[in-house]
Amino acid sequence: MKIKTAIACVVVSIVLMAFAEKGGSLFHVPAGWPVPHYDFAKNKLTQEKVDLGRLLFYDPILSRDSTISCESCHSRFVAFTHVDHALSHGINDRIGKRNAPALMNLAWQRSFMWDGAINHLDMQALAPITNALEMDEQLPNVLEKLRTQSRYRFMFERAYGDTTISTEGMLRAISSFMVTLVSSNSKYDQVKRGEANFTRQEENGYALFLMHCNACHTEPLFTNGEFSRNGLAQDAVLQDLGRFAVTLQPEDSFLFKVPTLRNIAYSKPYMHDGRMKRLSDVLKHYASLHGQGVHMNNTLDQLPSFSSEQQVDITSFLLTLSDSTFVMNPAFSYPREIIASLTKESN
Amino acid sequence: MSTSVMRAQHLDVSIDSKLGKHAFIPGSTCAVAGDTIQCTALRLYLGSFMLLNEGDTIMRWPFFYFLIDFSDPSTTVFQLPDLPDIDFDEVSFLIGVDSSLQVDGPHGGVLDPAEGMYWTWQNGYIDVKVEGTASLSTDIKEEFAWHLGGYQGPLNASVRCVLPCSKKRLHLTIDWFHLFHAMDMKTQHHVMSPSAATVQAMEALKSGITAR
Repeated sequence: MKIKTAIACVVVSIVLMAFAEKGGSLFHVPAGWPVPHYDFAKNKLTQEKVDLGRLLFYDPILSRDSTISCESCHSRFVAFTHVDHALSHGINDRIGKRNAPALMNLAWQRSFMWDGAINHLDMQALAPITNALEMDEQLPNVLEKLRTQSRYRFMFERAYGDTTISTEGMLRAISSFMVTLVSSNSKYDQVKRGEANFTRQEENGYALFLMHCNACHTEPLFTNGEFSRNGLAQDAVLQDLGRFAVTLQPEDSFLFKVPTLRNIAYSKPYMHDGRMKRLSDVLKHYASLHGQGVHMNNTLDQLPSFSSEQQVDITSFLLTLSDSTFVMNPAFSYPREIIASLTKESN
Repeated sequence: MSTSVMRAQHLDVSIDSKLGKHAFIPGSTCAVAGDTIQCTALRLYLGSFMLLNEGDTIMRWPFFYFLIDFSDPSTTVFQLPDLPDIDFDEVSFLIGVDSSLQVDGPHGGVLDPAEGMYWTWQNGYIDVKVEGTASLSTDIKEEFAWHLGGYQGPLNASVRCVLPCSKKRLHLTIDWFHLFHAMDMKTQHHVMSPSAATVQAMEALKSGITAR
């Protein structure tokens, strides 16, 4: 029995090591990017933790009836958001209240959710796991279910040196996988690295972007990480007050986190409640704010009424933020090779 | 005889719970101030203990937290280790969890979110949890549930208690009457998120804690 397990471990390790080799370094800060906010000293990144996190990310075991995984609403091929869903549906097709955000470059993000209710990447997974409209599960149940599976006992031991399956271990593994989701190889990045050139239209769009959009959607992350108004009228059904719900400060009413614009072409629909299906709708909306004053913040007040040509130019620039190597990266895909090796191990 | 050999000493802490004149733990029913209250859950965090002498802090246990669950008597007695052989006249401790421990990711032990004293939809520990039924509650089932917590800015709910203490044995009594007096069963039978009212409730709870 012991020998069999040992042999299996060796086989699994070889398979996984081969994969690690192919995957290259787990995390790096692209040239010119700021220092990440995530504290890697507290959660040292290892291939073993990333593998475990990836397994968890794709495993519906986290939901009450094993139907919903993180990936259900955060699919790789659409930059880890929920394709074509304004509001995501969780367990039993229950509909949530906000548009699932695209996931990328999370190590640079200071707070999570549209209202910043989550203060640390490691704590983020708990929200969808326990939300009745999403996975509707209790944390102790999740731990109990993981403990009954030999594959998780094996993967936790491999990641942490013992078979204890703890909240901390689970959360830090999920974070480990999530911080590896770095998107830094769009055409924009290639232009910045001198490997490609913008077209004339993209160039025009970039100039307009820097002048009018960059204050909030600040490059290179294309978000300043702050909360801001978006100029949209409140949805009468959802009645979302934004950040106010977290701070109870009146000045935070209708403030939502500024989302990154990276991979925006993949991550439709748009805005906190997904009410806009196309990028052109978003551009039209911002162009329409010109001269409205009072309801907006200063940055929005100063937006010009972009001409339709300008809107097209900005859109063409935004399309340069698509990173196909990110959405196609096999290291972020369903962990077929890990599961295959684990299945061998348990036989 | 060597003076360098010191016996390990510790501060023994024990806690009991009452509502007015009655013992108050899960399972107990108390008639108080025109209300009949039946308790089903009663839990709170205590931590960040300090000892003071004439106003100066002489010992701190900033990372020791205890989850007191009055349905489990073993949690109502605990020890603070490595007590120095030194005079002190006051003890200081936090009801709830310090805000610095609420923003730095997951913790294990009693601070494990799986303990059920953590809000997952909006990060933060539940400092105090009181649940039960009350005859004055306007809830359809006459239930009440107070989950008191919050760590951000003006909504920071944890409160620091400073009480006289000069011996290595500290007995705390929590009289929940002050909290019940501060809360309105008609409008506040369910409290599940941080608020200014919660901050006031925690202050009221603090005034009900005595040491001997």
